[in-house]
Amino acid sequence: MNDADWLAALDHELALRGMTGSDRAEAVLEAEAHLADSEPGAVARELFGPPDRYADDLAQASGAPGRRRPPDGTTGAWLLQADRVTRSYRGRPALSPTSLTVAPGQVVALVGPNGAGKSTLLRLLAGLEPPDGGTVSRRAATGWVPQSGGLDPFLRPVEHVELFGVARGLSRADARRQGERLARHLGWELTGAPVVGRLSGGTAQKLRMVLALVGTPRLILADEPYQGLDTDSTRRFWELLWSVCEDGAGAVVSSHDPEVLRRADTVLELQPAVEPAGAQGVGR
Amino acid sequence: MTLAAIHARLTVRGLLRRRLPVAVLVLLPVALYLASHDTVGRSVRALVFGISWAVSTVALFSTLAARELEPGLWLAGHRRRELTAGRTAGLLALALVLSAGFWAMVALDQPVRSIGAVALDFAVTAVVAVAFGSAVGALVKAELEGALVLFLFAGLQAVANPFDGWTRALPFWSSRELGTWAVDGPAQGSLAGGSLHAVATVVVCLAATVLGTWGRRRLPSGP
Repeated sequence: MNDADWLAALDHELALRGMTGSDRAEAVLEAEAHLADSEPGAVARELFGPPDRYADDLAQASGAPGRRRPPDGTTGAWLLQADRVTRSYRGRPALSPTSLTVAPGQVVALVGPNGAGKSTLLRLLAGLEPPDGGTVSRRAATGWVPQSGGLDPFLRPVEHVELFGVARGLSRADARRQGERLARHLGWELTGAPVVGRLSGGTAQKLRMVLALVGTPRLILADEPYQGLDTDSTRRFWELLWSVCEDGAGAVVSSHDPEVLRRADTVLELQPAVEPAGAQGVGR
Repeated sequence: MTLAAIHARLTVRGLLRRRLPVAVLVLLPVALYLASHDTVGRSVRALVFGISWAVSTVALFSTLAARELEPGLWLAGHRRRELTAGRTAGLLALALVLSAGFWAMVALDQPVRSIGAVALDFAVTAVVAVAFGSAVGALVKAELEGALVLFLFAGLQAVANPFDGWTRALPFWSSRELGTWAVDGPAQGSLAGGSLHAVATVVVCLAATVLGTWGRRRLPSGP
């Protein structure tokens, strides 16, 4: 990473931590000035360390909120609405009647035990399966992070990015550029990566996230997106998700991880469909 | 470049990276050809049989593999017809190039009555094989089932008496008919009959592919 890249990464990391425009610009300019005053040959990474760590320090010192503002729920705008959707497989109920609304800027967490219907609900919300009852309405292009699969093991990550980016209206070059930027935010270099079949599970999961976000869809549906990710990558995923939601996107994320409860705006707890209680939304 | 063209290019690229299957794709027809090299007619028919089997198997596996990627692509904005058209175009390009190579081998190696007619037979076989393999891939649930269906048809094609009327129900009847026409002349095989059978087979397979792909799951209706 050269100095220019490091400064750009610092700027982005500060944005993710909620630093406003002028404070952020000042912090980046200050780092640039320190760099210019330092000994010849010094590089930013050696002087300041990784940009995310340095951004943590700066954000803490400046009193920045450290996470995004909660969405404004007063406008009534929505990106996704599900009204009492149900689903059965071969007569066995998989999802009790469940309702859900996702507003711009909102992150909804789906939690519940195995078999509660989290993945089923997400597939219904995406339109990948029809509900047996109820309705799903979407007002936004959708980015989908599947729990597994969703990739061609014989294509390179950059080729996947091309396919998904062009479908969302980007040129191939822009799709690559945007994919590279998103991957870098997740701590991964897209360019030069081998075919998907040779990637680790965590890196394949990062690719699924990049594919969901390239082309800037306004609705993100993520099914257990943490699979195979380390702590740092999980944090980066959330920062990226908050960042796109700050720009007006909405997201639904399913997880077993209690961490999701702390990071989401709204929690929808699902119970296995055999229980009469069905679903109950817990807004925060 | 259109979405279908990008999909076609990446279909070919993905297939060519599967080195062992590509090697078998080339070696299977060649092995059958060499094993029946003693007479022109037998060797050409064996080669056509090998092409049909190998190409339809590749089309089957490519169609099944695409199921992983396609839901995300649908949601991203690819249309079903773009995905199917792109994948089919990629498979056809690969199959026709392969057939051209086999045709060149026969042209150099065998005193065939009409080498142009052999070219037609190989090209038609490649097209029918892509259509048939794609249709089976769209209709079955898993790779094993699809492979067994292909074995069934390939086995019947190999052992059946081609003069029995029921063999016209086999997808590659046209390949054998056109091969006979190319090697033995119009008195033995019919260009019109073989061509009509091939067109009908492709139409039926295309319909099966569309129904199988579209019926498997209702696709997103969102923007």
